[in-house]
Amino acid sequence: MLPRPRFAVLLLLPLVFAPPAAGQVFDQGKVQTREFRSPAMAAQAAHGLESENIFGLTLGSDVDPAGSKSAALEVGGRIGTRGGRYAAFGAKLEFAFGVTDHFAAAVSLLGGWRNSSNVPGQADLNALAFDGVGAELRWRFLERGPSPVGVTLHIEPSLRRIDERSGETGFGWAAENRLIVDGALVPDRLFVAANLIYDVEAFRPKGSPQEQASTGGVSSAMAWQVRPGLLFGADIRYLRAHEGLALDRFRGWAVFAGPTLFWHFAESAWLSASYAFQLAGREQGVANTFDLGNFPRQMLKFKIGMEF
Amino acid sequence: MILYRRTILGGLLALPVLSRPQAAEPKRVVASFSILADMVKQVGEDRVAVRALAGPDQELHGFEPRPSDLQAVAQADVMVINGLGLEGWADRIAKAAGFRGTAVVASRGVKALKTGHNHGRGQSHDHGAFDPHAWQDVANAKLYVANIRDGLAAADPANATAHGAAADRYLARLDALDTEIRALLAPIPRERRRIITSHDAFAYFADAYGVDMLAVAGAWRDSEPSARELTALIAQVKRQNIRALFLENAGSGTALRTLASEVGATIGGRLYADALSGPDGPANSYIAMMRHNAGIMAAALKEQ
Repeated sequence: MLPRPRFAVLLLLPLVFAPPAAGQVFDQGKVQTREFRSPAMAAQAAHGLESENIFGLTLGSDVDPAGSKSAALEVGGRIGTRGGRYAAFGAKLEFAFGVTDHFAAAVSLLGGWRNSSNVPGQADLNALAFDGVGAELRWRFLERGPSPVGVTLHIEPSLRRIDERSGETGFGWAAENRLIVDGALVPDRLFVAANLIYDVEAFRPKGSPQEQASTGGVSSAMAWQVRPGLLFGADIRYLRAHEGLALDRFRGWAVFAGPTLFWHFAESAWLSASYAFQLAGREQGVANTFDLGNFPRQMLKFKIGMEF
Repeated sequence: MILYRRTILGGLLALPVLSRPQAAEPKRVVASFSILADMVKQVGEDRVAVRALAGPDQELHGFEPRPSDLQAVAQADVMVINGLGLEGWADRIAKAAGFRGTAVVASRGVKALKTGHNHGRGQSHDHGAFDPHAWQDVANAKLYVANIRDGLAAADPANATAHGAAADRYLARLDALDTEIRALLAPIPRERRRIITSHDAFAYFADAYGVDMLAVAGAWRDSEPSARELTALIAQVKRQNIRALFLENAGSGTALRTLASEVGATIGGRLYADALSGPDGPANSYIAMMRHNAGIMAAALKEQ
């Protein structure tokens, strides 16, 4: 006879209070797995990765689809300079949205922490500050998938009240521009990307004339998907620093290289981390193995994002 | 004396009845869902009394046990689950009910596909370690049947031979089913075998029978996809000109209807993934379900 409905629910109490598994009732045994026989299904199962952030410091070409929304926090670090002690960390809180399937935009708040002492030409500093606001515009000309490679123009302008390198207050603007090409060397396993870099910045410290600088260069990265959603890779970049906005007077060059990590750790959340150190460089007019006047000794980037 | 004679006569008349072998009580078997219950019935025939915790047309992913389920498990001689993480509640319910019978994991020995299916570029989800819908490949279903046969034989050694013979007959029917599905899909060129479903439950079918399947929702998600996921999927469907869209019997399919309306496609029918239909439906057994699914897929793909 079944218990009366009023009391029947009491039968479920053991489910609530049952101790968690001390010995399993059902023994699955060791589960062996296999790959898909169908290449199309294998490709689908191996994640259709969004490539924008999988390469670390180098950017990928994928663009958020129309109607999509995402938020990300990015922390970039520059450590080490010529003389003294120097570390600067910039933070960017970004909200991105897909306008069309091939055009996405983002707005961001910028902040930073700088700690420097005994750096030639710079006042000692240890400050956390709100730096300014930024935006990001991404146009995709060729879509990865339908085409063997993806090609995207990335423009990232910002308005700043603090000089990113020296920490001086004033007013300036900057734009990080990339022409991005990427693709998969081994479908859904090995990805490669290259960026053509052209960064410009102009900053007028309080009581001083405006300073203008630009950086040109190329970067290349590869990322290997070791398991779905987890990629390890490497990034290498060659950068040339110039005075003036149009790559006018050459000031030095540097080559950076380092490892990258991308992990899609939850259904809608991912993180990317990368580290690069200066392998070689030369500052114009300075006899040194590295260019530590225009570039840091080490660069870090950590970004965590969530899709809505 | 008369009474004594009547007693003897009555006793003699009753003798044939008493000496006739008693029909054994069928073993009580609880299966976690209707597809497994059908397989158990095919192997155990009238030697088993089977109850499915999640019955026909009932979504298993969000299954909540009722008091009557707990009672059924407590009284069961055999409990059969799929495994591969599908019934996360199984150990808990068996312990809570004090289940002392034979525990059978039907998928034991199956080479599982890993999860992590995406739903359009950029949409990646981590659903757990394994895709549990292994029965969607008939070759795996044959392993299920062997495990069920062994479980029933262990619980009821007296009928082990009968269970074995019934399993052999059923396995032969499954071989024929596998051949039939391949024959149904064979006339369709491989590059046209692309299907969208409302539930990511057909990866084993897709891989076994050479059909590419995209799903609107992931294997473990009860929720509908986000606007971002749907947008990417719409773009992919348009790009690849996929016209065969199918609902699944359990689940709402709201997103699939949105997708169909966005790309101007009609929904080709209802596929059965995790649950059989009722007795009057087109998928009232595992074999009928697989035949139905393959049949409507083939029909829709031929019309493209």
